[in-house]
Amino acid sequence: MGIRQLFMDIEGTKVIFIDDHSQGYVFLPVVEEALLIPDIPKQCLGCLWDLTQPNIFISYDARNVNTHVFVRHSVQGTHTLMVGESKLNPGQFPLLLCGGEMALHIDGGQYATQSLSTHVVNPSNSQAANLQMLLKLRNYDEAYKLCKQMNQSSAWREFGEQAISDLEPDIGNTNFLSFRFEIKTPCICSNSSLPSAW
Amino acid sequence: MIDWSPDGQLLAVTTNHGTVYIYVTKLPHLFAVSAPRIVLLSSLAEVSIYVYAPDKTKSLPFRLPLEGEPTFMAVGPYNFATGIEKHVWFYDLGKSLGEEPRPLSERDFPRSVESMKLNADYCAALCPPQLILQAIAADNPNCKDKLQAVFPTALPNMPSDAVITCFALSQELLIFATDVCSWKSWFVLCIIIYNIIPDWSPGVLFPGKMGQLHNLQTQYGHPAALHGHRRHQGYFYR
Repeated sequence: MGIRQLFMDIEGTKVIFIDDHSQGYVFLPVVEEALLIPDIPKQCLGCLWDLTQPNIFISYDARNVNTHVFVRHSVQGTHTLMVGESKLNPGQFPLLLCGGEMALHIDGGQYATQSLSTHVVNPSNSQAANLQMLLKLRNYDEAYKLCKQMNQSSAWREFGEQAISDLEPDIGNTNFLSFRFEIKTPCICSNSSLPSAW
Repeated sequence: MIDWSPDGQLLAVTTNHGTVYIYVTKLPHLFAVSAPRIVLLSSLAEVSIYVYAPDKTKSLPFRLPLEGEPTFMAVGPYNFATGIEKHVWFYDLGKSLGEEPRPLSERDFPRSVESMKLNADYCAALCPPQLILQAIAADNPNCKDKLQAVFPTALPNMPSDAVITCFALSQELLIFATDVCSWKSWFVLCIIIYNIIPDWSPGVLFPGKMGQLHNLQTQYGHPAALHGHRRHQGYFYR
């Protein structure tokens, strides 16, 4: 038993480590807790935390990059979730991840950039599929904009349910939700940016 | 005439005029990253220092010739380090991104360095089985009398035969993990090197699944982490 690799976020408050059994864990020094990362590649070469989205990290082997989300608060407890996969060209591997975009090492001492498949808004996908991806990534800002654009009660419902299950009352306990589900909570926020129709 | 070197890395071509051209066909994958800087080995003894910009504007790299073919390299917010086995060269990258690197110092480590990481003040070098934390510049007022520590010997309760396998360094924390130890378990240990704490003290110890560890002194000392955690807790149990 031994630890093979360590990957720290920029502040050192979250550490990913991989042991000799190729199992990956997110270790939180502050609470002395280690969470198993499901779906980490067997031949994992490394992991990187996103510089601008602190809840996103990737794990990669020679061919693929997996996008994972770290969910600190949720009704299921603290956990990580694999949300998608991106292909790599042979011989390339990620050096840095910033806002869903990777800087990749390529031959000859240069780097190239490539976006993660989970962070590309695919126009051929339905808006509902895009919303689901944004919610999986816990990107509530963009999900909110998309909901506003879609203006469907099913979308707002999905948004609200996800926010509540992530224990995000600031986002989830909106006027809409208290109206829609008749939830009486003591901390309803007056979110002025919500559509007045709700 | 054309011929390859035995490892396939070099291709030599001779001409009628008596000139030999040597081409490099592949380079070792050596790199170091400290956002926004990306340093890549671009020739046998040359690195390219890029400044990554999220808006996809790719600026031209600064090409820095090195003293030899490096076996490791590291970059921090203000310094770049590269070395061959025991010997390390430090470069000053300046206070802003556009400045030209200039040589700072060079030194030898007691053993061959496997990998190195830098923060603004310190370098951490893994010289198996030890990990050496050293001030980059001895006259740095941030380092004062804390110039060097060697792990695991710096920790009184840790067996001296513990092998350090990997590590990470942030501005406040040195985190490392060990391989198989006498008690058959692994752990992650965070050492706090934050300036307001008078001593480098063991922070969090995470025991592995296989067994119990000796009880090291546990102390939370990372102010930012603790503050964040308390805030979340308050939020949780509101």
